[in-house]
Amino acid sequence: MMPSVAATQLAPRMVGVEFPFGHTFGMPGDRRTQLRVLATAVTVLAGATEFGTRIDLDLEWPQPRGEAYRAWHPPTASPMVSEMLEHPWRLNGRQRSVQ
Amino acid sequence: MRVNDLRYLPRMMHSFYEADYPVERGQVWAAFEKRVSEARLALLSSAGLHLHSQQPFDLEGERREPTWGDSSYRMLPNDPDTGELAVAHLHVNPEPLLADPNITLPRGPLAELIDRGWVGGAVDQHVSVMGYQGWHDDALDRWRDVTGPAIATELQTQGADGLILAPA
Repeated sequence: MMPSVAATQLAPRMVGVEFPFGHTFGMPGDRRTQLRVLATAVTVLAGATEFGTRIDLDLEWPQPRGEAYRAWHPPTASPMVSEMLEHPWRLNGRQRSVQ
Repeated sequence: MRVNDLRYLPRMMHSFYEADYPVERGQVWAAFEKRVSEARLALLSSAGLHLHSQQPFDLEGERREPTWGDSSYRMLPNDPDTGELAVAHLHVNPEPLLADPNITLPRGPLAELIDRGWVGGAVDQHVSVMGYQGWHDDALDRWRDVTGPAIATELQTQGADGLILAPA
């Protein structure tokens, strides 16, 4: 989902997919894509020989970007997103506290 | 083709990931010693899945303190016919997850790889967490000191040879 972020957190092996959040292995019912993503993950798990190995899959999401973007969102904004819309400074507070 | 991490991320979150994202130092590595066809694999999803019979992840706590996220975990059976799943996660749409949980916890595809002889087997119980952890003061400590070691023990007890993590 976010392999570059995973790399910053020291994930030893990664498979990148450009899919909407919540849909790591593909669309509901799309067993072929689910199988392909999992099989790739298994291959990287067993076959990688060095830390940080990353394989990105060239799979196009079957919905237009806007439709997919809307589809992964929860029915109502999360408490933090609501907070950030009201008080954007809280996001900056996160960066300081984690570092 | 290089995956764009930000493609489906709300624009207001872009700056957080584009600049000054905290980077850990060091390397995490363990060689995979077995043949995959003889290995037992486990799955971990961060989509907040739980069985109806289990306590949901604590969403009320998050509503009270939006910088906090529940760091507990649930064990989910490998057999998809054992127990009905629910979703407790305020940051993703539960509908597609419930329509086909394989999109985040691919038990069906894993069974297919086992049937084909590519993978040796699966653990009896996979792992579920709720991915939003906020940035409350003790978030990292809870994961490093409690949740992470507990999950590792659960999987070692089951004889897992490898774990595939699926961030939601």
